[in-house]
Amino acid sequence: MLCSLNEIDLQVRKAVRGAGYGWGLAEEAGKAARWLSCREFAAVPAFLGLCARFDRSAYEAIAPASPEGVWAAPGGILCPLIAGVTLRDFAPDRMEGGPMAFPIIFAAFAVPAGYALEGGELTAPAVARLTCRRRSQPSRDGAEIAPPPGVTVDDDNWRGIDNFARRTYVPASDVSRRTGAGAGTVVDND
Amino acid sequence: MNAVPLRPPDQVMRLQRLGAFHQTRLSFTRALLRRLRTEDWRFDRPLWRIDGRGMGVALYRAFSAQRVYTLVCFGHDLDPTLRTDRVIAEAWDATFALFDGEPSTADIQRLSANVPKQEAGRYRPSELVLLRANRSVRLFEQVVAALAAGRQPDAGDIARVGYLMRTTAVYGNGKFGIADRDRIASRPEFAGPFRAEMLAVWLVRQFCADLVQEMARIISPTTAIALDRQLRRRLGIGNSTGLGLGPFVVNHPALFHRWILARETALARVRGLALSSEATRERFGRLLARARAAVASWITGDRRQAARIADLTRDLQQVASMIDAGWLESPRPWDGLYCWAEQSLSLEGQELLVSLLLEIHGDLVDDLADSMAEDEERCFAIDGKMTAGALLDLLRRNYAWALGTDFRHPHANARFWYTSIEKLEPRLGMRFEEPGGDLEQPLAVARDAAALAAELAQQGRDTPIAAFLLRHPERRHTVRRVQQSAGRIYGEVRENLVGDGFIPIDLLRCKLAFFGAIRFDPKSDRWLRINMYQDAPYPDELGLADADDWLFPPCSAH
Repeated sequence: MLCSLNEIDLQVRKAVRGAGYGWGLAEEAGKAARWLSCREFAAVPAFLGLCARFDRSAYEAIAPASPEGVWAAPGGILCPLIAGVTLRDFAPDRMEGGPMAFPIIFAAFAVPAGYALEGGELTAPAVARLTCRRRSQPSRDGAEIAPPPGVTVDDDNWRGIDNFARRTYVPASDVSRRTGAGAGTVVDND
Repeated sequence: MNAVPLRPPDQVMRLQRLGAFHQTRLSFTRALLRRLRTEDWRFDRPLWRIDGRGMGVALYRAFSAQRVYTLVCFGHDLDPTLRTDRVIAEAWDATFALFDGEPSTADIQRLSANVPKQEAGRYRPSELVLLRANRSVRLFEQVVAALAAGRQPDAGDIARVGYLMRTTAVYGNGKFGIADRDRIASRPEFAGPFRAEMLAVWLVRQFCADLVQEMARIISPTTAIALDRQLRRRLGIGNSTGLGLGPFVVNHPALFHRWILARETALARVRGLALSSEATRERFGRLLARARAAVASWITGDRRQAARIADLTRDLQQVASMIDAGWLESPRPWDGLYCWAEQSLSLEGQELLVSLLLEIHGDLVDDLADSMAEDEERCFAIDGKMTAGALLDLLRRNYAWALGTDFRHPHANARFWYTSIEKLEPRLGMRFEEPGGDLEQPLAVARDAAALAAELAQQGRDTPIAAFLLRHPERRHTVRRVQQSAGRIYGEVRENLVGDGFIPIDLLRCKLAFFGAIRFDPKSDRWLRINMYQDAPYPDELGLADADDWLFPPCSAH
């Protein structure tokens, strides 16, 4: 199906939240998905992979144990979303870490911040070790790229990411329908 | 001009005041029509294939010097028992898409299979806006019958209801596959907020006026007459709005700051004027008379709003007395009037005065309508090098209004915002009575700011935020908000949006006033009806002298 960037942003944000991440990280995920989609990288499959791989994982197990030295996750595999925002927050000149899942997601944070990446195939499901070095001043995310008219997303991937997104919705109920949006008993047909 | 400071955010950003805002000439409908008029846009209706029951398809084109946009309209014969304004409806009297360019036959075919289904359809980037409308049971049939019988509909009924159809949802920015806002934001006509949506609604108003006339003609070709132009002008587009609108201003603090800043800057400019000319004073007097007549015809069944309208009526009487006493002939007349109003009038009265002051000073304030957009990507990145101490200082400065509340008390944390699985409608629940509190949306700004302040106070002042966030990822959303608040004093509604005293319609009204809505008519604390474009020109009237003079109807209209 042909999706808009806004749909991808919102859907990934909700899915990542549904997989157990905080709202702030989920917002970063949505923006990263938008950045990747603008550059014709398949963002939805990568984030679907992230949601499945780190579904409700303990944060401490998948985050870098320390921003000093080689970045490693106590649980074994670094989450690229957490590593990506941590890289942006600390903005070191150089970073080395791994193993890391879905490094393309990490790249969506590192590249616009002016880092050059080495260490393997970024579109692979995981890399053993990744090095990045600052090579330029950060550019404004996506500003230099014209947004595409639409992004083709595989239906199965969209359903997959939607399954995570749906975890953020409250199920239908009479009380919710009646009072949640406040229609009350007032007739709204006049 | 003497500089008058902007009103402080602690005064402006209280929900009670925001919920008393009225249309101003900076409102989006007003700014849009001014642009269309200045740029000499042309309009036509290349297709009208609609039967006597209102079923069929119609096209309206809007031409700028560079581009053309087409409103694709589908009329339906809706079973009245299915007619509901709730977003959870699944059928409507009419459905529409604003198309980028001119649709081909194949495009119309594709749209006819999707647009009538609204959210259940699928769209392409060639579509800019998706919307639907329902007929007013009170007015629509009556107007058709009158016109068919060769007489004009009752002017009192038209004034009272104010619209032939109500829109019940207007979707833009990438929803269901339509174009992302990014793709059109660089076009001058759509650079301001919600311009494409406002254009679509305005063209729907034309469709409604045409529809009643054409239906009348089909029903009785020999006797039918056209709708009187003055009556037609009195017809706006209704709108029913629920909580869905509420989260937007909370989720877009940098943008919201721009809207409020433009309005406050405009007020400060007018207050700074050293003198008033006689012509301006006369215009103010005439406008005030129109305002009083309009307020007298503002009908609501809501007790809270009815009491406010009564106060407003008295307020405007007082303003008139001040003017009669020659108040405006003194130096700094508008500042004097405003300062008096702050001491003497209700919030409704004060904010209506703001609308009046802006209205008569278009030359001084209209440029500000172009400053109400924001590139939100620019504001998104977190500054990890900021220290915990600096962030805490910022928090204490910009969120002092939130830090005094004890959120352990149930009444301070009584509600939660959530997204229902039903059409993903935003709703508000009772945290301690309903399930779903664990699925809360991040709209409890005051509570989360207080929690962040407490945690920051435990950090060393020199701790970089990067290090804090690595250990406290759940605070990332709030850290971003607080950092965004630096230099954006009007970004935050200074109210506890999950407290038991929170009145959601105030939030909705504020946004609707920026759209240009009037005649706010609350139906509960969570949804309200409004009118848009009432008394505005139609496409064939944009060149008229009064085309930008429709904050209130002319006195002759009452």
